[in-house]
Amino acid sequence: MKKLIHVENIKTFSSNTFRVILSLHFLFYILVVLAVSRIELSMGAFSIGRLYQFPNVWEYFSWVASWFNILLGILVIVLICNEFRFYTFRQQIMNGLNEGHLLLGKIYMIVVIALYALLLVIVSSLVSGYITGSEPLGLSQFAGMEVVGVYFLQTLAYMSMAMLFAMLFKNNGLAIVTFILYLFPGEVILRNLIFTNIQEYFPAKLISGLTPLPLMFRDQAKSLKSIGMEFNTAQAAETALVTPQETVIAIVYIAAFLSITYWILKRKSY
Amino acid sequence: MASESILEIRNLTKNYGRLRALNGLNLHVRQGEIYGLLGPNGSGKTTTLSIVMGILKETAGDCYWFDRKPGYQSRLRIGSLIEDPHFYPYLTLYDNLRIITWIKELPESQINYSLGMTGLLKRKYSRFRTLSSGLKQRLAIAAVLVGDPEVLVLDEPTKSLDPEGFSDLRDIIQKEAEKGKTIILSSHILDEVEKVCTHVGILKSGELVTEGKVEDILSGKEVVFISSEDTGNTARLLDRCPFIEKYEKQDSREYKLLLNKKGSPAELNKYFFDQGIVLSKLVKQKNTLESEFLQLMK
Repeated sequence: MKKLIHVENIKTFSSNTFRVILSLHFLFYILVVLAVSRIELSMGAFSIGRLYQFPNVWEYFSWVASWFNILLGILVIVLICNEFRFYTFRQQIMNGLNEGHLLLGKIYMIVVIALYALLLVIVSSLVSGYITGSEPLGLSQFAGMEVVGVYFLQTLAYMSMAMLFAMLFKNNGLAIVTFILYLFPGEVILRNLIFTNIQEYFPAKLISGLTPLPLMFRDQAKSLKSIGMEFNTAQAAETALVTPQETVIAIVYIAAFLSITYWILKRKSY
Repeated sequence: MASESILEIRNLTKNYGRLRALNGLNLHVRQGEIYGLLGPNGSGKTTTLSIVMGILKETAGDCYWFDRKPGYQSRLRIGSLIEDPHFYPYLTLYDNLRIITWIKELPESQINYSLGMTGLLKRKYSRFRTLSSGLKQRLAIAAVLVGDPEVLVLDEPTKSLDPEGFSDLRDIIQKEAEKGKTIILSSHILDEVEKVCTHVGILKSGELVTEGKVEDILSGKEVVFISSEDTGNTARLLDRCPFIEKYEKQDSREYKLLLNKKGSPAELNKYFFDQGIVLSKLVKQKNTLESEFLQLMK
C-alpha cells in the first residue's frame, strides 16, 4: 500500500487539473458561505445568522458543501480518464502493478479528497461557530457534529460513482457529461417515470439526501405550511431526513460502485 | 543442461472481432537469449508482446513467465517498452521514473543510472511534454532499464531514434546481453536484428513460420543467381533439381535460387552441366536475415 500511496502522490499532487479543480471547490464553498452570511433575514425563530452559530453550523455547512460534491466527482473523473488518455494505467501494469493496485491507488486518492472536504467543513464550521458564538468552546457546541461524518460518507459515495463513470467511458468529456446527465435529468426521469415504488433508494437521490436541508430550514418550512404557505421546500423538508438505514444503503452503494469498477478493470485491455 | 525457461507461449490466439491476429502461437525464449520477433506489419508482434505483458487479454492459450502463470510479480522482473512511450506529460523525467522505482520498490538512485545510460541526465528536470519524439523514446528505454531487470521486452525500440540514438541503443542491448540478460526484441530493421539477436522467430498472419538460432536459419542455405543461353531447358531443370528449395525469375534469362542444405553452387553447376546446360552466370550471395525474411513472406 505504501508504494501505491507514493505513486498516487507523485502523479496527482503535481497535476494542474487537480490543483485547479480543488481550488475552485474551495473558492466556491467559501464564497457561498461568506455571501449568504451577509444576508440579513429573520422570520420568527429563523434567522440566517443562527445558521452560522453552534450547533446549527455543522448541519448548514455540510449541506452547503454538499452542493459542490459534483466538482469533486468531476475531479475524480478527470484524474482517472487522464490515466487512459496518457496510457499510464497500461504503463503501470507493464511496470508491475495489477488491476487491484490501480483501484486501491484511486480509492486512496478518493479518501484523500474526501478528507480534504471533511477538513474544510470542520475548520470553516469551527471558525464560524467561534466567531459568531458568545459562549466559550465546550462539548455542547459539538452536538450534531455527526452530520459532518455523514457528509464525508456522501463525498466518498459521489466520488465512487464518478469513478465508475470514468472507468466505463474512459473519456473525460463523455464521462463528465454522462455523470452530470445521470445526476440531474437522468435519474429523476427514471425515478418518476419508471421505478416509482423504489424511488427513495436510487443512488443519486439517496446519496444527496444524506446531507438534508438543515433543521432550521425544515422547521421554518413546516411553520410556513401550517399557515397555508406551501411550496416545494416544505415538501422536500419532510422527506429529507437521514436515517441509519440510508447511511447503510449508501455504504452498500459505495461497495457496489467499487466492485463494478474492479470488475471492469479486470476485463479491460489497456 | 537446458537453460532456464524465461517465456513460454502455448497456443496463443487473439481475435479482434472477426480478425484473427494470433493463431495458436507457440514460442519459447530461454535465459540469455536475445530473441528477435520479426514479421511484417499486422503479423501479430505487438499483440503477442502486449498479451505477455498483461495489457491485452488473450482469446485462448497460455503464456508462462519464469515457468509460472504471469502476474504482477513476474512483471516486476521485466523492463518493457511496447509501442509508444507513455508517461505523465506534466511530470519531469525524474518524477516519471520515480513512479517506476516506487512500483518496483527500488531506491531512487537507480534513476540517475538509467537517465545516464540514455543520455538524458541533463534533462532530468524537464517535463515529459517538452521532449522531442526521439528523446521520449530514449526516456522509454531509460524506464526499461530502471532496476536492472532480468528481462527486457522491446517492441520497435528504434522508433523515432536518430542515428546516434540508434547506435546508443545497440550498445545498450549489447551491454545488457553481456550481463546475461534475456532480451525479446521486435523490429523491422532486420540488419540490426541480425547483428544483435541470437535467436529469431518470424511471424506471418499470426503464426510462427520459422524459429531458431540466427546462425541455423542462415547457415546451410545459399542464394545464387544463375543464367543460361538455353532458357527453356534451364526453366525445366529448375523444377527437377534436388538442390533447389525455391527459385524466382529475375528477368528473361536470370534466376535467383535458394539452395537447400544438400546443395552447393559447385554441385548445382555440375548438375546443369551433366544435363547439357552451360551456365553463363553463377554468382553466390551471402544469405541474410532480410533475404530469408522476404522469402518466407512470399
